[in-house]
Amino acid sequence: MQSIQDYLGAISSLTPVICLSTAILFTALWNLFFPRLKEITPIAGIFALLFAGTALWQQFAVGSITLFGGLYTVDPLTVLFGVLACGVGAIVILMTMGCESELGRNAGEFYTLLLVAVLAVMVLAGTTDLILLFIALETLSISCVVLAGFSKQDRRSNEAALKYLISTAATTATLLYGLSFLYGLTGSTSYYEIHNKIATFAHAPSLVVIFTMVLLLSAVGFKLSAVPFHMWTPDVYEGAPTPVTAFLSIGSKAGGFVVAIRLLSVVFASSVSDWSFILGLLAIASMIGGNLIALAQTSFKRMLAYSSIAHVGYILIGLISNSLDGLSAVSFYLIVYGLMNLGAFTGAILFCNETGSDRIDDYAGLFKKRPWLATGLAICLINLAGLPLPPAGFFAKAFVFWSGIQASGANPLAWTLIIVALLTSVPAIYYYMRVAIKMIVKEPSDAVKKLEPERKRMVDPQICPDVALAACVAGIVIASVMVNPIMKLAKDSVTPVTSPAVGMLDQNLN
Amino acid sequence: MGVMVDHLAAIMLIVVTTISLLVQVYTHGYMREDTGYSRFYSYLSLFTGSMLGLVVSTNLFESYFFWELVGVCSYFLIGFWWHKNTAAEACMKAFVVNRIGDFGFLVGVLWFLSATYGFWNGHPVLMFSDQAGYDLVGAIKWAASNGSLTAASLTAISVWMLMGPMAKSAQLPLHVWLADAMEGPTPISALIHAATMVAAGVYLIARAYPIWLTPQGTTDSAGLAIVAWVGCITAFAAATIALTQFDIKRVLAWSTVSQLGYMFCGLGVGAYTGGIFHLFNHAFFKAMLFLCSGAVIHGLHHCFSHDRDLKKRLNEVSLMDRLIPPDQDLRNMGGLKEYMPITSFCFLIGCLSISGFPGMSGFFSKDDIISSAFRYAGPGHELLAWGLVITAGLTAFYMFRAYFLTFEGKYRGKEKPHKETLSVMNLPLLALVIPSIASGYLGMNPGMWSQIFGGTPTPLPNVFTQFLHWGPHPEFEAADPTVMLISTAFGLGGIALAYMVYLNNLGLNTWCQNSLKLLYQFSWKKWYFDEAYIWFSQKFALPLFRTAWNLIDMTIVDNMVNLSSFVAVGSGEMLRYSENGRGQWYALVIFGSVSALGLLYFLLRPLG
Repeated sequence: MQSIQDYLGAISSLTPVICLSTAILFTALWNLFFPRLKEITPIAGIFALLFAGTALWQQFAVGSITLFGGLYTVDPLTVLFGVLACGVGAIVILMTMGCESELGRNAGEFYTLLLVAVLAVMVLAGTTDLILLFIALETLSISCVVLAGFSKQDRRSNEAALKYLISTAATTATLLYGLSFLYGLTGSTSYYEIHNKIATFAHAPSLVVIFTMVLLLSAVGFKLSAVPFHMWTPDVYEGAPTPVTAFLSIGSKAGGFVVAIRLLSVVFASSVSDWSFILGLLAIASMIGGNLIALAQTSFKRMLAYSSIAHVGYILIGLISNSLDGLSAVSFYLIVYGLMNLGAFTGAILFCNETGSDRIDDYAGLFKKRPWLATGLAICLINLAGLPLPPAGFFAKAFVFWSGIQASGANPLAWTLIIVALLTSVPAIYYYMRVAIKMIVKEPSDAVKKLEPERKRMVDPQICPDVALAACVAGIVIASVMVNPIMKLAKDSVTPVTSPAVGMLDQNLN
Repeated sequence: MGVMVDHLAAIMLIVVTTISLLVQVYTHGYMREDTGYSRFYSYLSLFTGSMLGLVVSTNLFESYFFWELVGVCSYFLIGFWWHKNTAAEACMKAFVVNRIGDFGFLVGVLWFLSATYGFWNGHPVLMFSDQAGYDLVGAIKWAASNGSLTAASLTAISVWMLMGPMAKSAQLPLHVWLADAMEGPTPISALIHAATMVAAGVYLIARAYPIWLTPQGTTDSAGLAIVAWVGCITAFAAATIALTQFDIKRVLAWSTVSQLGYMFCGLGVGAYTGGIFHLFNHAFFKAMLFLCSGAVIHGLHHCFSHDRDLKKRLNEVSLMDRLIPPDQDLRNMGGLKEYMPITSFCFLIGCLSISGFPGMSGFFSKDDIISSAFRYAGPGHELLAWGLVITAGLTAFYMFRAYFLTFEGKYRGKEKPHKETLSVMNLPLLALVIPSIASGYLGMNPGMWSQIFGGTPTPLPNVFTQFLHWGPHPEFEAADPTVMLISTAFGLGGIALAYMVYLNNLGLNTWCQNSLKLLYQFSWKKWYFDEAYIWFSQKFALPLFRTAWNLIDMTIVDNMVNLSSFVAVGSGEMLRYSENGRGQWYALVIFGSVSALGLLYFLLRPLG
């Protein structure tokens, strides 16, 4: 840090982060002093997220800036994932507002913790230093653990929090172990310097480098819930309050992916063939395991949980191909997957609020009682299945698979990956469409039969989740129509991390 | 996809839009009391849209798309009164027969595409015409020069493709659906099953004409000869069937089949302009005839609506033992001229026109086709031409039989019909009288008359030929008084015979029924086509399919599906139980996986 001007400039680049931190403090304290006006808390949270997102968006065109001596980088990738995290946060808050009663008196703290988690993802997106990486990752994990256990009266929620804590602790251990190796090898914590050091002995990867890589990948794999680091996923997803599950399934995964992109494409850029092989194994295991277990589920949330494992497998194909196309396909997939998955979870919340049930069989005939809910949910499910109606989900899959095919020259596993992906897409279509078809075609189940006729709209506690579902469906439709602009955005965002630009970042640093 | 309006399309556009408009007006009167009034209009509009799309299509695939759309509209509209068993069966029949035809059509198109695939090279494929020469003509030239298309294979393609038009335009042997399509409401019979959709087959042949020519582009091809023969045989067969039918709509339907045969034959003998000219004229007078029959049915309906038993039986009976509804039965009519003067006048004009009475529109186009057939140099041209001439005589006979039985003589029903008042249903009829007479004069030069009566035969230009012709220049023809005389004589003879038999009580028809019983039955049973098809499908086709079904689906496919679902669900269940829900186990799995991955990597690493 040369001068006070630089420092002030860096601070101004951190406007979104500061804005969110302020909102965290606000939400934490507001209910304490003004318990009667506690309805303001979530609204303030949403506004803070929107503001932070907008402020981030302004930085998209700025290019790459490294701050604090390489600790933090603001580049289009940071911006894209930060905005994604803000969007996810806003939608999750919206869906939470429908089931605040579940959270009891502590609703204010819930929003605080959620904002902390969003903040952590945002920082993860920009971090280019091992120390900051670790801190952000731990912040994310701890806030998620607390969120998972937020329904204190619910045994399953407590169990979920405990299991998540144990698993997190285990992977924190492996991560730290890996980080310490990395520091020992290179004597630096900055991504760029490590990149340069590792490049010097990349041609003959030693045992240590590979072991380091496996340790780091285990931590990333845990955040992504890739098989075999997925064991916590179903229990936590089922036990945690549904909004938390929704956040875990996309918010914390987006964090995991951006870490993976930066670590693998920047730090380990010189040993692509090594990590792409390991990740390939994880991807294959995730696609097969996730899809097959999802097939046998009877609970809607558990099915979504397992299928999210499978989706991680698909996204990893883009990451493995390690090209501009591949990484932009990853970004595109995450945007679209975020929308449709949040939509599906919102549908689950709306259904659960009214019927108290989560069983897939109970969804039968929902269309007759709640046509809009059933239609919105069906659109999300159809897209999750990758069917082109509207084609956002289909394009997302197609881009990822295509990038995998293009990379088939460099990666021996590429064709295996594509074939496994295509084959496992078939059960995916089955288990998603089963729910959609049940809702629309079948006769109403007992739970649906008990539903009151359509509610009056304006005076309704469900209005916020409704808005969330509508926003997700609208987002899917927009993403289907504007595939090219969004794809261009995704391309722009990953351009700085694809190889040639890394050297440029180096110069920035000096 | 695209839109192309050339002279051929323009002519069809005139036909489709005019008749569609008039039928929409007519429908308001005809269907006013039907519960499906608005449904009917939506189908009608869907059909018109699809038909216009078919007309302005730029390439074969686009045509195919709209071709199927008009087909499905036809299916909807034939089965419009689905509660009538006969209607439900008839729409199914139309659908199945058209499937058979369209299958052949698709095979032809795909074969043609594969033979000329290298030619299109990034340009839109299978274009009908294109300024830069990337169209059917260019493709055939290209494929013929590099040997991927011989005269024989082009003929084969044209025969496959002909199946589509044969089914759509109800040519033998795929004609069986059209008469039964009359189970639909009468406006539909006028619009779809007389004037526009059934002419789509003729239109398609004209549109993709190069495919039926020789690879060099001349008209002496085997493909065209087949078209001509199919048309001629159909024209004759349908005319003989029409002789004995008693349902007024069926008589008209069979005459439609017969006239479509004329158009096929015209295109087949190289009279490109003549075929389309007949399509153009026929559309107007046949639509008018159908609308007239609708007016008659509408007018007589209340006379027979009391018999509830009969109504029930009419609804329940199957297509094969169908009863003729009393309000459509020629035997119950007679003398309606008195009650329906406007309808009777219009029907008479239509009959004169279709019979080729000199000066009416049908005269000009039919004469064009017949004289082209006499000039035709292909196989058996004499027979072809005489077939058409004899058919012209039969046409005049059965049309006037229908006219006399309906409008002349004494009323044979019990309850008298109401007197006709000028209504919304009469306006379209009167409007159609004009083209039924006048449209023929587009194909005529005033100098023709002087030539017939002793002038020197020189080719005379006329408006229609100038507007529409195959090849760069229109080929004008001199009027041929001999042919005209022959066909007119046959037409007048037919009318005279009908007059003798049905108004002057010449005992010819009872004599035929008694002495020529076999022939009479043959015509009455429509050449036994339906019986033959049913026999064939029940004896051969269905048992074959059932065996194939048992073999392939029940044993192989079903078991495969069951096996794969068993494996998937079973392995899902197995994996589910690998989760035992214990936190320590989870941590153990994580650490174990890390070591396993490291180990696995060393064992399997790609670079050794």
